Amino acid sequence: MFGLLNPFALWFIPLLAAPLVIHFLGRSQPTLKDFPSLLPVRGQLTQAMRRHKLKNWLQLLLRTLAILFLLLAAANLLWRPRHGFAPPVATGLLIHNGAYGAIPLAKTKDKTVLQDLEGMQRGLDSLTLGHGHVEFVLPDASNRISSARFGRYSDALSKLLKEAHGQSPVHIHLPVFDWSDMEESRPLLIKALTENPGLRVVLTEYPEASGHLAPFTHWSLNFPKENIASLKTRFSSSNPASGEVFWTPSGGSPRAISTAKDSIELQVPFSQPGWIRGELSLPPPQGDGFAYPAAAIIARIPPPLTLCHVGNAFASLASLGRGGLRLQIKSFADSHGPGSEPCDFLYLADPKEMDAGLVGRAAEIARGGGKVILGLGSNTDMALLNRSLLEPLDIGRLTQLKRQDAAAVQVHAAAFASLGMHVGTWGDPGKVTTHLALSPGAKATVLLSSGTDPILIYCKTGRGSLLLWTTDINDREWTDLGLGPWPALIHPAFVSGSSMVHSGLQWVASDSTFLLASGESDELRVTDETGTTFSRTQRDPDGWRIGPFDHLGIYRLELHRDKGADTSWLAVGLAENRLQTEEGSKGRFMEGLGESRSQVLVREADADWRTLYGGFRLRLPLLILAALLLFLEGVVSLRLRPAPISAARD
Amino acid sequence: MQLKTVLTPEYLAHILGLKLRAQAVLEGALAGWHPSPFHGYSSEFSQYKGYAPGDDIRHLDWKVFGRRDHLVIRQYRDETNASVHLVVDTSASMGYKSTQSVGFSKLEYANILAASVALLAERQRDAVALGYGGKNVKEYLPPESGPLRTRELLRRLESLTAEGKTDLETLFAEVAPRITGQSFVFLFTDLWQDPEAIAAGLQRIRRKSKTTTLVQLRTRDEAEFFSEGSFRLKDLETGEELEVSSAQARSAYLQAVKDHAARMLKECSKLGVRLVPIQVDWPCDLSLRAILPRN
Repeated sequence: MFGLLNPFALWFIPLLAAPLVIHFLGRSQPTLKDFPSLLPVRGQLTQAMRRHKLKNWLQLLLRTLAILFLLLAAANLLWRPRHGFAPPVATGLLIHNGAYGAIPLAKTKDKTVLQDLEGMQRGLDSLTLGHGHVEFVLPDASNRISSARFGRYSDALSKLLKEAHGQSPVHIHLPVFDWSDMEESRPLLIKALTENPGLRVVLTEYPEASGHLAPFTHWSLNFPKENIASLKTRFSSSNPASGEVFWTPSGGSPRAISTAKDSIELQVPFSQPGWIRGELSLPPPQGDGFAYPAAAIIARIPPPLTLCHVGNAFASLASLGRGGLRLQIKSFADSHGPGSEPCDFLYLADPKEMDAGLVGRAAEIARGGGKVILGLGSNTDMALLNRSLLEPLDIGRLTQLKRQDAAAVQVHAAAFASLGMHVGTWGDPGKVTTHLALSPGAKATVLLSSGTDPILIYCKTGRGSLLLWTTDINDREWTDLGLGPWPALIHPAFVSGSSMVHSGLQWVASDSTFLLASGESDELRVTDETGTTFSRTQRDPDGWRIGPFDHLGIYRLELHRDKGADTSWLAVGLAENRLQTEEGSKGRFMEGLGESRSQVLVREADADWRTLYGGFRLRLPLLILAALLLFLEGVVSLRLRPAPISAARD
Repeated sequence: MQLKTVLTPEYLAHILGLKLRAQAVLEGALAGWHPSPFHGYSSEFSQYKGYAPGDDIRHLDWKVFGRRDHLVIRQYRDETNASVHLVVDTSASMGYKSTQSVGFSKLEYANILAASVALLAERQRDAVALGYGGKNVKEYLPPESGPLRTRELLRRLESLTAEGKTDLETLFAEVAPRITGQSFVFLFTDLWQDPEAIAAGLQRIRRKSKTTTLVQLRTRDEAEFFSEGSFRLKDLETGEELEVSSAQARSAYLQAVKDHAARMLKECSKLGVRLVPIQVDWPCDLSLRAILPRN
C-alpha cells in the first residue's frame, strides 16, 4: 500500500500548490476605466470588494485544504490513539519456519519486522513452526528463535497468547499463509482479544503463498499401487525441463520423467508389482520465483483398509512435504496383540495404553525386522519398558526423570552418518529441559545428547531397529514432534528403509467421507483423539460411511464383528484442495472476529508495516472532509456569482 | 421610418449641428402632441383677472361687466411674461460617455434637450435663459426672446465642455437669484452628489420657480454597471481610483444607486420639484416629451 513514508509521495506535494497557481494565474489584471463619480457609491463598493477578497481567500483555502485531504487520503494515513503510541510492553512474533515460511519474502519480512520491533521491544518471544531453517541473526531474537519448538499453528498461538495474558499493551505479529488455517485459531484469538483489550494482533498475509507449499525437491514414495491412480505435481514459475526430473524406483536406477507444460505425471502401473516405492526428484528451484509445490497423490477412493498407525500416518505425510499438518497425539492403542497381524513400523508416542501387550508388540516388531520409534512422557512406565523392551534388546535402562535449565543438544554427526543421515545442513537441534535419564546399552548408538545424557538413541535390534527419544513428550516445551526440524527429518529417513508392506496409509480429505468396508451386522464406534464419540457415521451398502469431519486428527475406528473388535486408525488431513486458498476464508475469519476487528490489523506482506501498526485508517474520514470542503467551496463559488442583469434593471 | 419616434442618439449623431438635432427632436416630440405648455406668444385667452387701478382698460371685458356688473380684465397667454431657464451641469462627470452604447455623452445629450426646449420657447416667443457650470455658474445668459437669442444660446451650448467638480448646491444657489418672474426652470445634471446637499440648492430655485424640472441624466454604465471584468475605476472629477470586480461589486453598486435615487426622489417630492430620470441612450424625442411639463 502506498504510504506517505514512500519517497515517491514527495512528487505529489506540488499538487498542493495547484490551487494557488490557478488562483494567481486566473486573476485578471484590472483595466483602468473612467467613471463619472464614485463619491456616492464608494463606501458600498469598497465594502463589497473587501467582502469579495475575503471570500476569494476562503475559496482558495478550501480548495487547498480539499487537495491536502485528498492527498492524505491517498496516502492511507493511520491515526493511532494515545495508547497506540506507547510502545508495547511485550511483542510476540510467530515465525513460520516451515514449508510456508521458506518463501523468501516471508523470511525477509519477518526479519524486517524483527528489526523494526527491536527498538521498542521489551520482551520478545517467538515460536516457529514447520521444519525450515531459521536464518535470522539479530542477537536478541536469534537466541529465542534457536530455542523454538515445533507445533501446530494453534498451539504456537495459544502459547503466545497465554504469555501475553495480563500484559498491556502487547502486540503479536502472526504470519498468515492460508486463511483456512486460521479458522482453528479464531476462537482462541477472540477470547484473548476480549480478555485483553490492550492486545493488538497484526496479521501479515502472504498472498503469493497461496497454492504453494515448501520447495521440496525430493519425495520418498511408499504406497500400495492399487491406492494410486496417478501421481501429479503442480508447479508454477520454476518449470523443470524434461531430463531434470527423475524417478528412482526402490532398488532400481533413476530414470528421467518427461514433463508437460505445467505438470509432471507418473502413470501407473509401474514395473514393480504391488507397491510403488521410490524417490521422485526435481532440480532445485531457481531464483526467488516460487519453487515446486507438493506432490498430489490422486488416490482411488476408497483406499484399501490396511493396518495404520498414527506415527506411520505422520511419517508418510511429512515425507510428502506437507509440513503444515501436525497431529497432536493424545492417546494411542494397538489392539493387535503379538502375532495377530504383521506390522513393519510402529510409532509409540507415549500412548496411554502403553501396557505390557503393546510394549511386547513393539519388541516383537523390532526383533522381527520392523522399525519402532518410541517417545516417552507421563504415561511411560519405566519399569515396564526397561523390563520388557529396553533391557531385553540391550538398548539400555531408564533411570530417572531429570529437569534442568534449557541445555543445548549435541549432535553426533558421525553416528548419524553411519545410518546414512547427513545432518550437516539440518541446523540447530535446539535445547531440552525435561528428559528421562538413560544408561545406554551396548547396542545403543547415541545420536543426540544433552551433556552426558542421551536424548536420541538408535539401536539395531536383530533384523529390525528402534529409535528412542528420552525427552518428555508431555512437557509444554517439548511438542509432539520433538526438537527443531530434526524429528521430521530423522523419522522419514529412519522409516524409509522399512519394507512398509503392512503400513499403508488411510487418507481422507476432511471435507470428504471415508468408506469403511464391513459386514452388514458389524457395528462401528468412532472416537477422536480426546475419546469423544464421533457420531457422523452412516451405514452404506458396502460398509460404514464416516464423515465429513469437523477437525483434523486421528480417529479411532472400532469395528465390532461377531468374532471380536477390529480397531484401525484414520488420519484426517486437510482437504485435497487445500493448496488453493479457500475462497472467502479471509472474509469469514475477519467477520468472525466481530468487534475485535479494530484490534486486529491485516496487511499484505509487501506493505509497509509501520503505516498499519495499530490505529484507525483515516482514508474515509479524510475523503468525507475533502468532499465537505469541496461542497463548501461550491457554495462559496455560487455566492460569488455576479447578480443577473434583470436585477440591475429593477 | 418615422422620424418622430426613432430619434435615437445614434440617429441624431448623424445630424450635424445642435440646432438641426434640436429641431428634429422638437418636431418629433410635438408631432401629434398637445399645444405648447408655455404661456408664450399667443392671442389666445388665458384667464380673467379682477380689475385693479392701473390695469389697461383695453383688456376690460365689457360683456362680463354688462352681465355681472364686475370689472374683469382678460388676460392672454402672451401676457404672462414667462421665461425658460436652462441650467446645465458641466462638471467633468457630465462628459462621461457610456462604453456599452453608441451615442452622446451626458453633456451632449443635455445640450440637445436644452436646445430643443430653447427652440420650443422661441417658437412660443418666450424668453430663454441659459446658465451652466460645475461648481459655480460659469456664465449666465439672462432671459431674452427672439431668434438671435436662440442662435446665441445654441452656440454657447455647443461650446460647452465638461470639466471640474460638481457642486450642485452652490450652482443652484448662484442660479436662483437670477430667476425672476414666472419661470420654467430646467436643470440638466447627473446628480452625482449627496441628495441632501442638492436639495439645499434646489430649494432656493424652487422658491423662485414653481415649475422646476430636475433632469437626471445617466448613461447605461451608470444605471446597470459593468456586467463583467475587473477594473480600476477612475473618478472623472476627483481622479480617485478604486479597484473593483464588476461581478462582485455590481449588486452593491446597484443598491447604492437605488438608495441614492430613492433619497433624491424623496427630496424632490418634498420640494415639489419634478425629477425626471433620463438615460442617454433613450430616443431624444421621448426624453424631451418626458421633461416638458404636462400642463
